[in-house]
Amino acid sequence: MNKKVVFHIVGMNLTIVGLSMLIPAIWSFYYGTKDIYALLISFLITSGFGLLLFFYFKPGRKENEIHYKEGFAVVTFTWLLASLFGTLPFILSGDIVNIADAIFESTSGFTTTGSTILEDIEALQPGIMFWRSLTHWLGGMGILVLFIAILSITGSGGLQVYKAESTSLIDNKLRPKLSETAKILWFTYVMLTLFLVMLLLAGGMSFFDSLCHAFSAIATGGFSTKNLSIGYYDSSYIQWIITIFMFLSGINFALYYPVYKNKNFKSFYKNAEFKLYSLIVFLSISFTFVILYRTFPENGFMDNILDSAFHVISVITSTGFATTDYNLWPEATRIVLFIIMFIGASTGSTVGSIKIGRYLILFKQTSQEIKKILHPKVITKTKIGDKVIEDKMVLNILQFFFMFIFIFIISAIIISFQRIDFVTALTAAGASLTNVGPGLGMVGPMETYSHFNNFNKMYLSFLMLLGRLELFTVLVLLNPVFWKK
Amino acid sequence: MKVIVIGAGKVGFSLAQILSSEKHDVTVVEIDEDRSEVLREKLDVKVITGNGASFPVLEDADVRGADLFLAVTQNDEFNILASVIAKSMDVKKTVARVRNPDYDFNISKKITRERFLGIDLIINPEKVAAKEISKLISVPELVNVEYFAQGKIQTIEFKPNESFEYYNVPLKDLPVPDRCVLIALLRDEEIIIPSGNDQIRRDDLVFALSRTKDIQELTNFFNLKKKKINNVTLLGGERVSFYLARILEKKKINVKIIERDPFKCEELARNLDNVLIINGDVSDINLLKEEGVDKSDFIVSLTNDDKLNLLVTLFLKHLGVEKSITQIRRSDYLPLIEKIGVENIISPRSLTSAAILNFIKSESIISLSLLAGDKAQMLEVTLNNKKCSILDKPLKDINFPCGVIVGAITRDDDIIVPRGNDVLKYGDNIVLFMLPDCFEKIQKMLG
Repeated sequence: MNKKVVFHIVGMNLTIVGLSMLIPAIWSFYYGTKDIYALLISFLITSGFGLLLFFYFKPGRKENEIHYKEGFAVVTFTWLLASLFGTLPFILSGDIVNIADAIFESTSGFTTTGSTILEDIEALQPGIMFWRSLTHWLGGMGILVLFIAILSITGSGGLQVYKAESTSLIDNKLRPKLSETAKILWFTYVMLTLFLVMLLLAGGMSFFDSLCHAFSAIATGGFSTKNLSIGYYDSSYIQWIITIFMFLSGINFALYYPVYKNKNFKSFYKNAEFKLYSLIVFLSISFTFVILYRTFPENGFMDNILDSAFHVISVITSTGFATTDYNLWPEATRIVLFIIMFIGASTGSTVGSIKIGRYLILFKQTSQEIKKILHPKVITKTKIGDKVIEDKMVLNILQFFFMFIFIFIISAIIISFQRIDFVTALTAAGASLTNVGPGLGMVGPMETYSHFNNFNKMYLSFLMLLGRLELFTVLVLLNPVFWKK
Repeated sequence: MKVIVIGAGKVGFSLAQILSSEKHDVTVVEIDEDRSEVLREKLDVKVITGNGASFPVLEDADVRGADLFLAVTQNDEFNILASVIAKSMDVKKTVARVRNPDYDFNISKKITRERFLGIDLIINPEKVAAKEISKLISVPELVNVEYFAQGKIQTIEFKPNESFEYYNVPLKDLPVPDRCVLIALLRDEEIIIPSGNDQIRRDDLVFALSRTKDIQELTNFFNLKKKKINNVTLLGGERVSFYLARILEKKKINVKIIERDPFKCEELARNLDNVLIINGDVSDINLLKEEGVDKSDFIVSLTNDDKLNLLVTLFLKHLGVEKSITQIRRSDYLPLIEKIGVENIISPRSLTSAAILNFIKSESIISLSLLAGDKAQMLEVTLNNKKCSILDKPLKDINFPCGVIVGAITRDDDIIVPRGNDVLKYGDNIVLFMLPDCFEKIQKMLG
């Protein structure tokens, strides 16, 4: 591996993370709170260290090539260092004292997980509170570019799905150049955020809160500025708006640009993943609604629809907002929420988890396998649209699926050593790995992760990172072969 | 008309043959010495041995100013190149045979909205054959069907059912539904233009014409039962199979393809969605039974091997498959084939010839189709010559050459199936049935 080029780039990324700490500092300045010092010092340390890396590891002319290995290392170290340095504002401001807590909170932010150890969010200073939400937005943005740039080589399937879908349905990537494609995705991301901010402002939310919640919703994170999350705003308008935007953020971002360019919605209704996503969301909402309406008829028709839609979408897009404590819901609806946690939304969006595209391919492959049993000599190809999915990729996806479930189970066992109940252990491991955030039981939507011991907090942080970077990006780094010359 | 044919393969040969028999001035350019020799012996055409895409050779063939240039060798790229060169040498119309789906003419037209490299007609024999077969599959009760006057008139070709009541009854006593015409019978490879005293015999092939909306009465009269085709098996995975499967797949018909070459199977599986592709030998009887091919509603034998096609069709007919189409490339087999009970034959070669002939027909001719191989022709023409001698006369008084029947007249959106007292008027569209040797005379009569 070419260490120079890796840390050169990581240094650059870290500098950008440091610079972005200046944005919450503006809010501190505006409110005149003391956390401005913490943010400024954090900025100096982070950017300073970033620049140090950047200049110390200046690659020579012939060394500036990035291959697989370098790609994995850049991604993993960027997330790792961003999460570590992202703790500085929390610690320096004194808002979070325990280092494990700070790491958990920061990782949860950058991985757009949205689980928290904070018992009282509203006690945070405004700059810190803003920084917390901003980490989501940066993480989401990072995932978008990472997605097209680097995950393509891990072969874990996510990108191939995206590629397969987009080459057949959208004009051949969005643009020929990767950097152009990244710009379009970012633009989409920024526009969605701006729209949401405006709509939230129109609903009477303050500018500060609108920004924070928009960052959180579009990045499918889950951090709120209120202890009661979106439930604080007792407004069905705000809840519906956030529901819709969470749904939109769960769609492949590459589908938006063709709509703008071709002035039609062909890219959507021709996209098999989008259709399956919509179907699963619709079925989950309907099921949840029927049960909720029978259990809580006193809540009325519309409120039950809203509650079902909001929470189903919040979980399936791995956001993790809540307006009510679904811990108190009937068992069947909690099972639905638990299951859709492992489905996730579309590839090419900011969501975590296994993602619909992989399920789509596995379902299609299954039907081909059944055909092979009935007709032993049949020759078939799994296809999405016009694009043939090669066997190698199917194998990759199966591998990913297996590792995802395997890591989930092992993790549930590991964290249960701390004597926590079954549901909590399972959902804490699941919600961290899938980047959803809140789970059930003692990590339910109205609870926090503060009662875990330091080891578990660190371990869950690692799980978030693992899930966010689609397992293999991180796992290859743990393989000694990777480090050999 | 001065015609240049590049390539004297099966298609080139038959085109040269037809065109020279229609008194056109044909020059054939063929690269192979032996093949050239065969042509010189058999046909009354000028043969030049050489590369048909080379300027000096084309100069030699006197291409400059030719009316028609047909590039029909095996090689797509070569045909395209030769046509482009010919176009640059002031040929009026160029036709190229292009079979690779990657060069699909229709797609290029969609993208560029221009004629592909200036070539006037790109003909894909396999695609033409696939379209033809799919048409036949859609009317399983008939042997063939052709449409005229924007689909308002059709001629159908069929074998009457066993339960048909009027075998051996003179036609004049036959209660044929009104406005339907029996135009010809095919018996022992001979076309019979029936008069009132002729009779329909068992195993005759009947050609009849009627308005499309009345066709039901006609098929009812002959006891032809409409049958829905749900399962079609294609034997062989060549290009015709691919195109055909793609058409049938869109019609929601279950299609199964059996092909021996695993690479071809892979390729098919990549490009088709709901088609079952089985890798195996079409002559493997156990495989055919295992895959339930004998239960198919329709089988189409499309391998590259005529003998294998015949064998498999015969075998499956024996197992009880009722409807079949068999691809036969060698025309010398044709007379034998009906004798052994294979009734539906398709030959991409003759379809290609038909398509090219259709293309070069004069402007007043709307369409031309060949019946029963090329034993008879259906011609749709517009009467746009005021001085034409046949106008405004009762049909019975017109002295048509023997074998010509006016099947239908389209006048101001009305469809008339004429009787002896009807007259032809200026501007009418008429559908004519005739024997091929009448073509010249008819052209003269129509002016």
